[in-house]
Amino acid sequence: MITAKALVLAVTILSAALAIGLGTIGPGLGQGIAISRAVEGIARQPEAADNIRMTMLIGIAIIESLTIYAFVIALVLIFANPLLGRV
Amino acid sequence: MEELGPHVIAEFHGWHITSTVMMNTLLTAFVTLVSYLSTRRLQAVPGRLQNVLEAVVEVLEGLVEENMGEKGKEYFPFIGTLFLYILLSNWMGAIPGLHSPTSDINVTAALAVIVLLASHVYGLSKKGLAHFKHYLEPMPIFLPLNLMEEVTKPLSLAFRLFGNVTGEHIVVAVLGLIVPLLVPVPMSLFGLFTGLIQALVFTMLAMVYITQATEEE
Repeated sequence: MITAKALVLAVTILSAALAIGLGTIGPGLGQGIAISRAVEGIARQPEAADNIRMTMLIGIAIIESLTIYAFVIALVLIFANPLLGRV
Repeated sequence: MEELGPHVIAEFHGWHITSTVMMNTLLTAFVTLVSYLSTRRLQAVPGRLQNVLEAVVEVLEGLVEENMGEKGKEYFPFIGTLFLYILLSNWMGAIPGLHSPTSDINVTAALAVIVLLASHVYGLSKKGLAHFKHYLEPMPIFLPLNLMEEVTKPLSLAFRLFGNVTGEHIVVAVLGLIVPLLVPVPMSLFGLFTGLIQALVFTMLAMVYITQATEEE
C-alpha cells in the first residue's frame, strides 16, 4: 500500500529531475547555434572578435536563464515542496 | 544541504537577523571602507588604491556609455552601484565561511523591484505622464501583454540571478561532498566567471529597461 505522501514524494523527485533534464535541451541547442554563429563571425572578421565575444556571452547568459528557471522550479520542488503540506 | 537559503542567526526585538543581512552588512562595510580609504586623499598622480578604483569606475563608465549613449551618464551612479554590489556579492560566495547575499531569493527579488521602480521613476521624471503611453503601444490591444511584462521582467531578473548563484553553490557543495580535495576548485573558478557574467547581464538588462522607459520618440 503506497501512502499519499510517498506518492507525492516520488512524483516530486521525478518531476524535479524531468524539469531540469527537459529544461536543458532547448537552451542547449540554442546556445550551440549562438556559439557556432559567433565562431563563424570571428573567423570571418577577427578584428571584431571582442565585440562578438561580448555579445555572445550576454546572449548565452540570457538563453541560460531558461534553464535556470527550470532549475529554480526543481529547487522549489525539492526544498520547498508546496504540495507536501496538502497530503 | 540544509544551508540552502538564509538561516536566522539572531533575533532582535522580534526582528530576525538572517545570515544574508550579516553578509550584506559585511559587504557594505567592506566597499565603504575601501572607497573611503582610496578617496581620502585624492591625488593628481593616483596612488595604488586610487588607481584601482579609478580603473573600475572608468570601465563601468565605458560600459554605461556604450549601452546608453551620452545621456547614460546621469544613470551611471545607479548602474555602477548595482553592478559593483552584484559582482562583489557573487564573488563573496567563493570565500570559505562567507556566502553570497545574492543566493538568497529575497535579495535578488529586491534588486529586481528596485530596477523596475527605477525605470518607472526615471521614465516619469523624463516624460511625465506620457511615460504610461508605452502600455498602449504598438496598439491598444497590447495592453494586457504590456501589463504582464511588468510582472515577468522583475521575475525573470530575480530568478536568473538567484538560480545562477545558487546553482553554482550547489554544484561546488556537491562536488565537495564527493571529492573534497582540489576537484571543486575549477568549478569555483568557473563560478567567479559566471558571477561576472551574471552581474553584467543584470546591469545590462537594467540599462535596457531604463533606456526603454526614458527614450523619446
